[in-house]
Amino acid sequence: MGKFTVIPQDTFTALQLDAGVLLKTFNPATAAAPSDEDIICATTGGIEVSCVPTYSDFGEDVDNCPNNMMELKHLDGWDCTMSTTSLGTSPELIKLALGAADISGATYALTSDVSIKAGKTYYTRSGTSPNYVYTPVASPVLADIATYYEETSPDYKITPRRDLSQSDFSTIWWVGDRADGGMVAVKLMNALSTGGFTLQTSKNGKGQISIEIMGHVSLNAQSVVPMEFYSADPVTNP
Amino acid sequence: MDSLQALHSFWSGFGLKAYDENTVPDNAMSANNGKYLTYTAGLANFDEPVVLSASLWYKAEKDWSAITAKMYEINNYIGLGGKVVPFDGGALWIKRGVPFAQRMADEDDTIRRIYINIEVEYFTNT
Repeated sequence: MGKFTVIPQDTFTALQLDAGVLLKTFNPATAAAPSDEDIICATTGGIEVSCVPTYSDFGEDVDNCPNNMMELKHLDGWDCTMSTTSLGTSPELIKLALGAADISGATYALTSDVSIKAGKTYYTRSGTSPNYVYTPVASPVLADIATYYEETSPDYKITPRRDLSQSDFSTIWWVGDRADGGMVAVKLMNALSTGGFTLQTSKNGKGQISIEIMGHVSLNAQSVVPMEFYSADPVTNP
Repeated sequence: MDSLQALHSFWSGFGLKAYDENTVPDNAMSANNGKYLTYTAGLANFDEPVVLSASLWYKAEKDWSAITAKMYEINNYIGLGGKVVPFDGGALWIKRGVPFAQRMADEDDTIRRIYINIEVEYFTNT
């Protein structure tokens, strides 16, 4: 075998295996297995994560200056995106794909519970009919149970909105396995779908929704690039 | 442990005696309480997945329940993402094949056999 026909010894430990998963939340410090409700959707064809810089060459229009002079190169910014094809059509997934959209249609009723049931979501009601607003109660207390509502049927209507809302932006994680049992993770901050909603159906097949999500810089943290990367072995993150 | 030993170690981890299919003794069924496993041993280069197989052999009178339960145990152990089995200088990445398992007829009607397909990728520099 030729002496240059080799691969690094650590190739195998850091190999990323399988497609990984898109999550609403993830803690890279613990790298705990995700709960079912944190998984955004099932995907097909894998997930593409991209963080591409854009540069300007300030020497481009300078006479006698060679192209790509190191000292005159300027980093303009980063384009941070995640894209995949989803197999889900839940209201939350459709809203994610649309970006600026609202979910509605759920119906609520005053709860008949006489004690707080663990794991159940209760709501308080505000506003006036027919535009009541139901807000989840973070920490329900028994003393207020008479004012709590519960969802009797879930949201089913997703309406694109003319204006963008700050609440349309969210944090999305991609997390995948490494061959050594560790993990690779990418955090996309202030993520918003910029590709819109495209559903492709087929005879005898599963409907697929293409999703492209872009990270955004915040006015409150203008030097923070909206993507972070994590790669850890199982010793660092058991 | 080399790659073939790692493959043997993997198949030996299901509570059955595992034989390379080319080294099965004539008394395998009687010597192992009426059940054992055979597997094919093959080698390939890095980045060249290879399809290998195994068979579950159970002595059972018209009853598939026990051998089917063992098949599901192996299926669930490999899981959706496969299993990485380390050895000296590398690792095996064992994934479910397609189809993963199928029942097979045997000349002896008291023998139940399930044929299992796996895909193995060898992470090794040699």
